[in-house]
Amino acid sequence: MIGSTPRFLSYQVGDSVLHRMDPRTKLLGAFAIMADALLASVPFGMLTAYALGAVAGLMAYHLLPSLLRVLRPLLILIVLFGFIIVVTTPGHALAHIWIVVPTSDGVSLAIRLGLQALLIVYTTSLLSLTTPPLAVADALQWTFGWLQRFKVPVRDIIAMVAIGLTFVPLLIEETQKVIAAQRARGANLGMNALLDEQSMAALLIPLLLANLRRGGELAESMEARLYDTGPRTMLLQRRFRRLDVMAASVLTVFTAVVVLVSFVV
Amino acid sequence: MITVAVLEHTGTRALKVEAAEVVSVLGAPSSGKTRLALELAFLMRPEKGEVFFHGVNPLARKSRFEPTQRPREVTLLVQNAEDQLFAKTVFDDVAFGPRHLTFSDAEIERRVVQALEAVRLDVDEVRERSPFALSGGERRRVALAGVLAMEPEVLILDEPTANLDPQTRNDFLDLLEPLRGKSAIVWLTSRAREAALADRIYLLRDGRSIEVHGGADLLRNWRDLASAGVELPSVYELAFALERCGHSLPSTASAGELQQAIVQDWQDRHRDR
Repeated sequence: MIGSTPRFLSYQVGDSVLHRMDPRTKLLGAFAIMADALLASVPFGMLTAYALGAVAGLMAYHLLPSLLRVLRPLLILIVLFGFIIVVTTPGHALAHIWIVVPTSDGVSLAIRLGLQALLIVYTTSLLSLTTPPLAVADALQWTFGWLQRFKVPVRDIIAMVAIGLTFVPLLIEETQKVIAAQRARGANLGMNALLDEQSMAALLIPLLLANLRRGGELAESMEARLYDTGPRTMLLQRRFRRLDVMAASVLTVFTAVVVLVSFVV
Repeated sequence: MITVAVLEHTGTRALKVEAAEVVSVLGAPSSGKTRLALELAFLMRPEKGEVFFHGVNPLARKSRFEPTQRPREVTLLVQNAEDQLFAKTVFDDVAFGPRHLTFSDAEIERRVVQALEAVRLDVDEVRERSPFALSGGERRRVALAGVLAMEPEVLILDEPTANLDPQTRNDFLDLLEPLRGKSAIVWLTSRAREAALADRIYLLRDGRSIEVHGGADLLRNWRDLASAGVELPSVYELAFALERCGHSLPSTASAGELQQAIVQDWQDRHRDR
């Protein structure tokens, strides 16, 4: 319910090593770890990717309990989808249980996809827990700024991403508010709400309306404050420090090893 | 005979509601009224203490919070409840709660019509209209009807008149008066004038609830109320501000007397010059 644990994708104020790292290093680092996870062969590459993730996690160890709480619902999903993959992938059959045929190819695919999904969500959560949304936006701007030359509206896209990220916690809070309100007048909103059209409407329509309204208000208030009438400047000039150089070199070396092992060996 | 309260909160913000009485909880903005409302409606576990419905805590002995176990006899009109309307027609929206109680169509019809009449909406004119085609005040009435259609034993109102213009607010207050006696009402508000309508009044202060004198006597405590951040009629707010500047004023409940005293005080000072 409202105000219980740190929420998914919400920034936690703190002073860990990871908090002090430059947002650009963290963003690229997160990309590197995710790339490792996607490219890696099981088990060696995946082990490296997970080791990198664990080291990153230790840099903000006091956040790990809340991070695990964020990941718990994901584990259920992974097990559920893993089961579906195991029984639907064609290949060498391991057993015949009634009409359910688990295959060895299915098992390895499920393990691989599950590990990848877990690491990707873990890395993004770590990034968003330790980096304020505006800093993430800055880092994105720095990373993809060159696309502006090819007439890609990078700035606008990043502004949208930044605003979106800022509003995720609010959206979650609002969802809880709507659930409480509809329950208060007799709704039975539980897991069964997903199957019941009326309950779904009771949840989604107030949320959608509130968000449309807020979006409109936000756009007007931004325009009223002259958003997008001139080139944007930065108040904060970010500098890479020794910590960033170290993190970047470690990540580069290990990513190179993972790529080598996965493709060449 | 010992009577068990219909609703009882035992925590730092302890309070008790007897059958069919109107209890108001008066607190400054952001003094935790909404949280208290959710706790009383069994939508949230209290931080401290327990909430009892007829002497039983329906959430007790459950390690997991199961809101589906909450008693349906307790309903809550959330703040800005008009934002929670969603159905295609006003009728469907008001019928949303009763339909979850699986009544017959005739019973649902009866409840919805009665609830819409209770909020003084023209049933025939409004029932097939979209709730989004109504004005803000009318939408809030539809939301209230949706809660009333549950025919609750306890009706919790979380700032029912917030964000309404003065005219609509007075109209809305007129609706609440006839509800007295039909169900126990817990009315959370930051306005002393609204709280004065209740049988019993609790004041939220520093995270605690204190029972205070009700009715006409309520405003006698205007110093306490003002320092707790409650919204008072402007004469009392002025008196509180003047006292902080070192003027002394009588502890009277009547706005007229207080006004006289302030005028007198001002005239005396003027004469001294």
